[in-house]
Amino acid sequence: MSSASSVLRDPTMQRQLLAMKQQQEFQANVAKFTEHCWDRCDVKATAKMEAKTSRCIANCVERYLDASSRLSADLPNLLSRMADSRQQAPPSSAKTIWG
Amino acid sequence: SPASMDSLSSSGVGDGGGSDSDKRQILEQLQQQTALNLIQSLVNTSTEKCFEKCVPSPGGELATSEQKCVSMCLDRYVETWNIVSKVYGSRIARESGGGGGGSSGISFQ
Repeated sequence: MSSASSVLRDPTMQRQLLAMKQQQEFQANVAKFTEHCWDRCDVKATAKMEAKTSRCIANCVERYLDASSRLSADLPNLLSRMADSRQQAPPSSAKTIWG
Repeated sequence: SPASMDSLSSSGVGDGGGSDSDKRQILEQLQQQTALNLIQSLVNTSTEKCFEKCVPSPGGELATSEQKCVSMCLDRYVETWNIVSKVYGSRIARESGGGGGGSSGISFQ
């Protein structure tokens, strides 16, 4: 029996939806980096972009991704340190706020 | 339930919920909506950035020089977008060993 939900259960459909979702994430990141690097590299409203500016934009993206990887790599360590501090008794003021 | 089957076929897309053309249509509509959202985001951000850059003191009207500035600014913004898209896309391809899906960028000509 076919139904609306069978459309979504189709594996081909799911694959294509996943691919579209990934594409959307990619584009969202491009939009974010473009805005950020436009400001960072002080791109000018000229007839032609300077070579140093296009280099700056490329570097901006690469270094952002490097920093992001670095942060992700350090995250397990950071999270375990947060867990350690939570094992201590919370101050009474915290109980007032959350209680 | 019959009610849910009816709602899909009554939208005029054919013989029920499971046909290939239905699926294709859904995907196409999603793709179009995504592309529209993207254009909208690009227009909103570039308008803001170019207004900041080209019209520092908004007057009674937009001067010719300001209009030219905005036009060039938009070109440079799209160029920036294309550089970012290329660099980011290459990076993803490198890091996933050439595999992984959905990393093809849209570039604006």
